[in-house]
Amino acid sequence: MFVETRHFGRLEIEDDKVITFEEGLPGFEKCKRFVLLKDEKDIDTEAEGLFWYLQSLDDPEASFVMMDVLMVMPGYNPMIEADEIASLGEYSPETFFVYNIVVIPENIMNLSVNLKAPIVINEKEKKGKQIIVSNEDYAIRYHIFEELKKMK
Amino acid sequence: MLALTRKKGESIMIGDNVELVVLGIQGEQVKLGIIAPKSISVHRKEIYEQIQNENKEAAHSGDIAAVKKLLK
Repeated sequence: MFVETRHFGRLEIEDDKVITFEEGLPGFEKCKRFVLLKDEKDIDTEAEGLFWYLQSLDDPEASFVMMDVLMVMPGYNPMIEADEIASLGEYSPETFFVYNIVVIPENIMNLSVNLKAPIVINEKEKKGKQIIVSNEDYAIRYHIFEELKKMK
Repeated sequence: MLALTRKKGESIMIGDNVELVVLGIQGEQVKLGIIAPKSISVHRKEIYEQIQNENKEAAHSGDIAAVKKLLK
């Protein structure tokens, strides 16, 4: 199937790559079908595996840059209730992945990542959900610029 | 919106498996207890709205290339 993406233009994607978000996302409740994309140009660079793109099939404009926060903050430990992710299928650390949505403002020094509401995807069942974690100390808008700079 | 008046200790059932209990009233503040399956997420509305807004901002997010340059 063909997908109009915000970052990569028109792409051909296998149907079995579609990830279902049964509840959509807060603010995008009607967007229930997504694909998870990587930038081919990231391969063999420092950015490989760090940035991901969650592209809505239902709204081409709804495209989210996500980060694998553990690569930048190894201590990131979101507390997620087992029952909250039960709808995604049987849990396994090999098939469940956590990503965090990034906001990139005009001034990239104000780059922020949403630690409070990670995206959880069960790669095996192709199901996903945005979960609001109970951790008190994780911000919706965490300024990660400094940690990112330290990464190189 | 359905409006119901409850006294301290009284409850409201939402569907079959969500119960809202008025635990206490102190001045302007109402302490509410929520009994719901763990599969249903329960949050203060402000948090949910903040996340909606943050998602909307993220969807129109800017220049990832500039961010990647940082890593070089």
